[in-house]
Amino acid sequence: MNKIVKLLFLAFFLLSNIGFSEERVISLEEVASTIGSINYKIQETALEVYQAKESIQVARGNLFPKLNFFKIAAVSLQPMMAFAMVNDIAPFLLPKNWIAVEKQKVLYLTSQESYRALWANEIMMAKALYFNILLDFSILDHIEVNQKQFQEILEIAKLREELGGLKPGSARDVEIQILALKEDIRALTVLIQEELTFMSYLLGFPSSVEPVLTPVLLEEIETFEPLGYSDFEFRVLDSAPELRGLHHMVHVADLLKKEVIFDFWGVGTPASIRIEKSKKEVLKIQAQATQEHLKRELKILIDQYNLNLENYRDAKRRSELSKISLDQNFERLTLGDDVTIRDLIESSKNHIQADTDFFRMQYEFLKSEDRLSRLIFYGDYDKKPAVLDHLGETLK
Amino acid sequence: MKIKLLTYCVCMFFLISCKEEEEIQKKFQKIEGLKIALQEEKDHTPYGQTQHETLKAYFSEINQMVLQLKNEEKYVNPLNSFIEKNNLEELCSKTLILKETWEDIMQNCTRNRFFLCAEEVRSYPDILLGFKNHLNAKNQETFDKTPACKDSL
Repeated sequence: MNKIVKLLFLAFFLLSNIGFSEERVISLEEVASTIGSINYKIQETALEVYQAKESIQVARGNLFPKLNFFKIAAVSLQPMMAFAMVNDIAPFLLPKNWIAVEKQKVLYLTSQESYRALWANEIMMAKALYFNILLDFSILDHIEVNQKQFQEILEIAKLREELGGLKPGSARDVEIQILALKEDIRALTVLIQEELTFMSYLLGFPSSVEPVLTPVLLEEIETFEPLGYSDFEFRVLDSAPELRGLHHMVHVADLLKKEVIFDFWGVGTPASIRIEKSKKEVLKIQAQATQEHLKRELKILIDQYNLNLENYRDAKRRSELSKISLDQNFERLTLGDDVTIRDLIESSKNHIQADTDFFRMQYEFLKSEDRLSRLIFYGDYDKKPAVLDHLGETLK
Repeated sequence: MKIKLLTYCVCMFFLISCKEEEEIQKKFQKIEGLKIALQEEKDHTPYGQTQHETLKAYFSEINQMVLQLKNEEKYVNPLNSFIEKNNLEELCSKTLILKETWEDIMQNCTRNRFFLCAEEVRSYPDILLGFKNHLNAKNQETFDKTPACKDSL
């Protein structure tokens, strides 16, 4: 009797747990709008996204170089850009206490710009997390496909070994690779789960809700034109809150009676600058440095964007051709042609390599495109932060 | 004494109101100059620093004017009286650009999925609508009937 009660209790417990877990489909636009509507006036709230970024960065940094998949398929891990998260566009001033700064009427505009920079960086990071999860899902998907192909090759190798048409031990080598890929699948599934938990946390979902990410469409890319640096320079410098904030500071430096301390916060290099009359020149130099930093950032981004655009068509074609080659080898094998196990493994590797390069490039493109949007404050970044107007309320 | 004080007050009122009307006139003159510069630069594509700055100067000036009307009520009546005293058609054609022209500018401001010009360029229709909303009923009616004005919206 006691046993039955225990079993019933266990069944109820399991069922109730299953009942609590639910999935919620989310889109990239939804992530941007939700993250964009959060109030970051409380520093802890702003830090959450940064912490999520750091934590995921460490997890990915630990896992990716160890994945057997990259060794087996000989896929280059370089450039790491596609696997890394994003950093801030430029250092920006973050008031230690928004409320205290609000009282300083002259710094109101600066605090608005600082808030805008922080707000935009939060959105950019959440979107980068979204892209990374999609990328990881694609990698997982490819490892699974790769494993299935190797499984087919294994069956063939075993049969040929039995018939004496293959050197003993060939099937064993294929099986070792399959086991290594299985290990990758488990490790990557854990990482994706961790990333989804963070995404869920950032979006304010209850812990029982698992976000299901809507794929991002990439079809338009082929029609895009390469971009020119000079086309963007004006907009970048005109809209950068990091620069505008400093310009406001320079403008009001003479009016400041009290010394105000701002924190440089973001990239993990804490430092502080003291704003007082005598520091006006320092601010001017700081503004100049930020301007150069933004220009450099733009140059790198434009080059990266154009490179991805140029490589896109070739990578797509390479992926298609390697797939044809792999299918032909399997077809020849089915028809009884003399195809060596080595040929099969080689063509499978070639296809996985080409395909991985292709989708990695697509996510690199999306990330560089989003970073460019952030740099020029366009798309998800051209909206006004929800709480921006209220920053100056105490002044009225 | 009372009459003197009253006369003084009336004079002050007219002087202040004249001062604001004068400011508005200067604003329109400035916008007129900026529009000429814009028309010289708008077809020089792809836009470089000069073109971007010219566009920003024109659209920002209109933006500033509407913001001033929104934030400082004292400018609304002088604006309406200024418009009544002047020919609105002439005022519109001298200071506003047609929607068609704005659309061409917008096209030149766009590359792939990016917008490259100043934010003020993009918000021109909204700004213009804001301007129209500050006109009195009579001026609004004239605005809607005048091609040079209504075709800008």
